[in-house]
Amino acid sequence: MTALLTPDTAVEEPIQPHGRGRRRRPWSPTRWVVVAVCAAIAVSTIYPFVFMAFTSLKTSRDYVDNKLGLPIPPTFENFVTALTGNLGVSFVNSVITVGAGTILTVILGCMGGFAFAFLRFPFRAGLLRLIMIIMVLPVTVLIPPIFKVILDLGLVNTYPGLILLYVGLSIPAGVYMMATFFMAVPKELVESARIDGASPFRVFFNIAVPLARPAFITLGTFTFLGLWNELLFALLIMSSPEQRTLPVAITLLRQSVQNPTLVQDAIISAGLLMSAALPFLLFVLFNRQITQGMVAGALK
Amino acid sequence: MQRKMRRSVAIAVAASAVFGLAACSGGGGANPTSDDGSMKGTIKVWDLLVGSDKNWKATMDKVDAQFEKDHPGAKIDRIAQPADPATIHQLMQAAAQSKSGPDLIMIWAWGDVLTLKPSLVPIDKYISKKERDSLTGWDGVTFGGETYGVPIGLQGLGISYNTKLFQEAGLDPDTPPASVDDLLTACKALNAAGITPIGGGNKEGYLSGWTTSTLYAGTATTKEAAKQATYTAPFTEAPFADAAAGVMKLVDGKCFDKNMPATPWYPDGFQKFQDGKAAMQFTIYSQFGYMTDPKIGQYVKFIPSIENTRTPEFLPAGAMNVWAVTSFSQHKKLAAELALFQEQAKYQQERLDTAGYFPNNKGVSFDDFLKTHPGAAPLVKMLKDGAKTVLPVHNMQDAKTNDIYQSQLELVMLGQTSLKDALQATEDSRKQQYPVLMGSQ
Amino acid sequence: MMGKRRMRKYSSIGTLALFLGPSLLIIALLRVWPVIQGAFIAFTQWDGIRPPVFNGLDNFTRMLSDPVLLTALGNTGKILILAPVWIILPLLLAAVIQDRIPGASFFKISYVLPVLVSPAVIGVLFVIILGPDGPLNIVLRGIGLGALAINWTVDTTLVMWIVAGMLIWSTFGLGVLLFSAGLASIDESLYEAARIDGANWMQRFWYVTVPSVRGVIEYWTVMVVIMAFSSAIVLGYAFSQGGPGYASTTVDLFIYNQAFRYGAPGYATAIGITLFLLIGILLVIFLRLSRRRGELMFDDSGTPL
Repeated sequence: MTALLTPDTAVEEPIQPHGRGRRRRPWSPTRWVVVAVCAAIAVSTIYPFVFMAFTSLKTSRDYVDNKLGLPIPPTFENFVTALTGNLGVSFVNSVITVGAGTILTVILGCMGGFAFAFLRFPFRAGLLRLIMIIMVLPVTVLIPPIFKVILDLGLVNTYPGLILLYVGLSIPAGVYMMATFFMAVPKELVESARIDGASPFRVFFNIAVPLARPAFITLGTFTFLGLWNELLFALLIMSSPEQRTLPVAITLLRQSVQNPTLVQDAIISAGLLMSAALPFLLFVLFNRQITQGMVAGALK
Repeated sequence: MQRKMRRSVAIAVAASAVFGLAACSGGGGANPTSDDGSMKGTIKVWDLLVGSDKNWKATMDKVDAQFEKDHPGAKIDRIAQPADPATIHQLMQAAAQSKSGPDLIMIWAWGDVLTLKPSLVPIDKYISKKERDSLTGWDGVTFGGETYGVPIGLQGLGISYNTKLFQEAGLDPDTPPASVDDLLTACKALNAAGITPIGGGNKEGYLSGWTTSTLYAGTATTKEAAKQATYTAPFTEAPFADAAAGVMKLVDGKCFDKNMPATPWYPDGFQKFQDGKAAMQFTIYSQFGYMTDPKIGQYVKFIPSIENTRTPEFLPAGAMNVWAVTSFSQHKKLAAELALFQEQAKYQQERLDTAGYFPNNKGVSFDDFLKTHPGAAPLVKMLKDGAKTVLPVHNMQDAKTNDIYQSQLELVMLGQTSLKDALQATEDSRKQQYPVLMGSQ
Repeated sequence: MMGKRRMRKYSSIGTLALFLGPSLLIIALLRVWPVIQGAFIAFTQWDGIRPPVFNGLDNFTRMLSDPVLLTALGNTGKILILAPVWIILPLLLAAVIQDRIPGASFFKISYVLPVLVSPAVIGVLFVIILGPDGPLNIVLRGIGLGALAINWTVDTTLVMWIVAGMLIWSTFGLGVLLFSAGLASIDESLYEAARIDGANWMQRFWYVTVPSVRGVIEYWTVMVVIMAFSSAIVLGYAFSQGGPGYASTTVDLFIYNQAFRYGAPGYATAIGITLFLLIGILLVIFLRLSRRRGELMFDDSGTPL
């Protein structure tokens, strides 16, 4: 393995992740401190998840008596209540809307980013900057006009309507990220294809797309996470109970302020835990792809 | 190529400008129609309780089934919405702008009604005299002589107390405090016995609202309260200033836990009382569930009113929520009928008995309720005897002023500002918000 | 012969329409058009329900003399002061995980977990932990630092910094993920060369790692700025409701309140659009400057596609 990393290797080998596999020396004390610090941070970031899990396994009464401790005995009644409260259907709705929104964003973002990096058209630089500014503008104050657009298209309370809105929310960031990515790719890769007279489509499918796989995953992850917990537009667009998404269903579990005696944290935690299960799972699955890195450095 | 591009962009910009202006003025032209609308079709109802309260849902399912039977051709689509005023406003803004949305909405009395009034229609002509007489709380929905909603239930404030702890402190459990001075005496005795006198947490500012409203009922005359409802009474003067001063008297008299300003109202603030460690708690009518609590239930009794500077002339209570008909509804008459239908005695009775929602329909009997909640007897008696109710004063503020009042009082309790300055800030906000709220730009 | 081939200046319309069309159309429809409408609203007095009434520059003059807005800007400013930490810390951690210690996957997933947990839950959790008799104070009293065991959640000077810290803590995992992906593609030989030159870890970090992931740093910076101005709202509200007073009211919470609780969406839109136009322009300038070494954003040498 070490042989691959010597500077005078002219073979096209995949780049190994930085520094891996070269550990043979015993660990220095600095190394131990670093590990300890990283581990301490990890413990602190894992804790909220654990807290959420514990809370969801307690009855409301147990939770109020003992907010931070272990759930003894654990109970699944919150999950039962949450599931009977439409959560199963909402889960599917979330998967459909957020999933489709993410996939479309990645596809369209990739195509758009490709256009900015490799195609030529007037106002190209200005347009990209404009997209960046649009990315930064918040949508909170623009809810009525955005809703009106969906309404005028006749897509209120439909899956395509919410999906379209989700794409609209994520695509500026998507195009911008893919454009930045493609512009950082070494020009030689595309040049050879250009000189050969390849069509844009050929360059796109044969070179750009394979190259962009790690970017897809990163963009997909960010987009998915951003949309999975999206509440307000989902509430606005989908009014039928069987079409509502997960965050909406969880919010509705919360009882009104009129009866604060009832502590809802336990039930909400159960709902949120189930909601967080999917992204978590996706993370664990896709983490392999992210770690593997990319093969773009085929030319050194 | 360049020139063509530039021209297209120019056209696009011009088009946007035209569309933009059209959108703006389009929003301005239409007036809410006040026709009755069709008696057939689907009525969309935004219900804030059906998503989270099974008992409420059970009653409403019966309501829907019966109403549909009585009105063939009508269907009810009851949509659960989160009980958060800001969210409802966002949804209503979007609906009002696009002139399409629900027919009937559940909102809060006074402030919400005033803010959303341009999107609501007066429903006086749909309310029969019998129906009007059977319900209380119309003051929270009537403005300019027109009624904009049907009040739902009764929600009010008072003090719940624990008789066992009173006895431990040497206080007579059958003559609970009836005035601020009584409270201060009780607090001294309770502190001496090592018991937290009044539970509660003011981290979100809840306590200052509830306490002020409770004391306001023992400070203002009914006439003054009526002036307050027109939002023309200044907060820097009596009676409001005196009510606020009463709150600070309780704080200074060590009636609360010393950590109260930093303790969240819920669940921590309540917890002490629920655990039987605090002797009193400011509570609302829908919290009579305490009386069935296994730990403290048998000891809990309720004080419906407290004298501050005068004997109370009214109870600090008003509509819990209201049903309002929207101006873009295509079924206005039908929606209004549904609203009144839902608040009939038999349905309010069911909601009281199964879920503890206090009724505002005079035809509801408290007999079963009192069997399981004997501590509420003083309140029930007052209501039966015809006690007047006025919406709690902290509900008679616009959201911004309410926020300012709550946060200012928080700062007073933290010792970072004076009560005088706090009330001045509140009053300044009221003056600023008055034209916005009352619609007289 | 070479000279005879005419070089097209631009790519063909068909190609452009296919690749760029759908994205631009959606952006125009759902982001640009509403902003144009919003721009009109910014010049009106509007309560969200009644028809808007044109009031010229009133909203903008109001912005300049609104003390609460000033406080809110200051609060958001506190978040921005911590922005460098927000930007560099994930990169540092990503580099450390990648290189010096085992179990990279475990750490990456751990760090990103708070992102999956709703900010409301995080806010509630911290209210419990930082409560007057919560675990933090108990520990402080236990180890003799009882004087430090103050009321964290209602301390007007500290509360905003606490919210800012929570914000960074709950989102830095995304940065770690992002940078990990970027780091994986750095040419190992660069490090070799640096090592041969005698550079220690820190120096290799600043002179090899950081420049190599400049694009990612730029992108993450944009993300951080967006988050600084828009994600404090749920977290901050769950923790301290913008208080005590206005001590933890950030600009986005202020705008939200104005628009949906105080009946002034016209004013809110004016603030929102002004502020974010400013940020957008600043970011554009920042990005222009960060490409200082005369390198072009676009490389149009060679034949067009």
